[in-house]
Amino acid sequence: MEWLEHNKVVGNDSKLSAWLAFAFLLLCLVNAIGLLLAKFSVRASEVGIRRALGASRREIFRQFLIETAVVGLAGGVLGLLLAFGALALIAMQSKQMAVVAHMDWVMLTFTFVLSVLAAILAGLLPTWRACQVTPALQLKSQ
Amino acid sequence: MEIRPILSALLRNKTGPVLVAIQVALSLAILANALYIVNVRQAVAARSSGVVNEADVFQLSVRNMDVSEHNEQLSVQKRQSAVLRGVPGVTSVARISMIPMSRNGSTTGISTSRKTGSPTEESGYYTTPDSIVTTWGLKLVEGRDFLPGEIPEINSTESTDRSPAAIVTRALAEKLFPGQSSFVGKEIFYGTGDDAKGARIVGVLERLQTQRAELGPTAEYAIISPGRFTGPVASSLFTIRAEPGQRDRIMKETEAAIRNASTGPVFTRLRTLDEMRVERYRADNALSWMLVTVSILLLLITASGIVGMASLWVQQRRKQIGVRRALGARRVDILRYFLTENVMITSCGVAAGLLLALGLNQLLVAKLEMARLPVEYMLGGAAVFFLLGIVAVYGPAWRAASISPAMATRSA
Repeated sequence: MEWLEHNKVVGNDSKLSAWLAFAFLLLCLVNAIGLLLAKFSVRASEVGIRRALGASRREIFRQFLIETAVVGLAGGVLGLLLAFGALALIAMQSKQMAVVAHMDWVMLTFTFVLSVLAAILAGLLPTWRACQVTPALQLKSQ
Repeated sequence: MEIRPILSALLRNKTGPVLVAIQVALSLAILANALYIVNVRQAVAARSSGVVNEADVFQLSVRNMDVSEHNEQLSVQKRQSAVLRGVPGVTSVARISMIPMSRNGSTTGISTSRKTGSPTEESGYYTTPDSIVTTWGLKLVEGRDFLPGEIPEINSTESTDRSPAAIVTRALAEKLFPGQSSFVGKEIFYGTGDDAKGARIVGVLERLQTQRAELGPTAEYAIISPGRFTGPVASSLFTIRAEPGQRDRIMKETEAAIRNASTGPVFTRLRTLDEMRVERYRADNALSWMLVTVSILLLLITASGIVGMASLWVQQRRKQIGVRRALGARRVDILRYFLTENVMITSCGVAAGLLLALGLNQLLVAKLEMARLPVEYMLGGAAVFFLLGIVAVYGPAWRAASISPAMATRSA
């Protein structure tokens, strides 16, 4: 690593791209929180009924978190397909790029785990909100 | 205006507005910096190399396999130059050691004193026996081109001699002799130490980029030393200017002429200056495209976030909207409510975003040696997000305004 640093093998542009990618992920997280919040708050009455029928908060929490994980999984698969497409595009540019631009197992697993983790992280607040629904209020307003 | 009630409604349920504001802030911070970097890179890629009408210039590298001896190499070089000059449509030919932006060539340390430890400037080192000033159309701001008597013939396998005359770029001259305006006649040295060769400046160029064409001012630290060199292999690099618009045809003809004139096996390779410019700035262009793509995605995602949130609020407030309409509020009032609400949220987001953009820029300046963000980008970014907010919220707000009071108040 020191050798890489010393010889400036990793250019500033690559660093910039990496930072940009993470900033973009952060933005998408905030966006996902907002959308999930909207999605779950529409289903407040459903939560109210389930709670009234005996479901504990823990069970509601699990249900909604699994839902967000599934969304994250779907996003991860879609993202990987896009990544393969983009890598093929880059590899088409020149032979030197083709050597670098390919997918390995570490990267594959990392991106997949990252997307699911990000989705779960984004789902935490909306899920917690959904658990706070009081069954009595929801049932009365129907 | 109805700002007070909107504000208190916002403060009652803060999560949604805060999320929207954070999105706007993050996007604005990234967008302003990204667009600025794009602009800087585009400006860098558009810099002049010093060569006029680059589209008419190409290079032909020639390597003769059967030639090795010094005098034989000299005569082959001269004969090849003559052959190239004889091709119809060729305006000018020069044998040269390297080409600007080609990322291939040599540099040399230039100093103003032989004293060991005195500062040296790494400069692009061009050598030529011909008038490169003419071939590339370089502009001399002071002094003159080389005289025939100043062009030595040097066998570089035996001697490290260099011509006592040199032409430097203004950028290099000003760096070597700070605060001075006239540089002709000044003495410079190739490196330091007692055996460092010296030379006098005979001309100063307005501009000539090095083979590396770096991002900073060092891109124009270049020196031209006259001389006809031979080396262990008999190879020559010719830079040729063709008549305007004829380059592609003349390229093939010059190559054929060199092949016909050679007695033994010969390798040739053609490349245009345009190709070298494209390759030199490929990474910068790729970065620009990536940043532009990311910026567009940013705007789309932020807009989708605003639309999503606004739709939710409209849905949640259906009944209230119905009541307001029933009590005499017009459609315009409902529309205005949502637009005002959105502008208030966006304003907070933009304010935070401007601070974030400055912070991000500080980080880039400190870590990645980038330039400071101009105010125009911040103001432009702010305007973009105000507009984006209004456009994005217009759809949901219009749907809210179209809610019929009778339907909304009847249910439940």
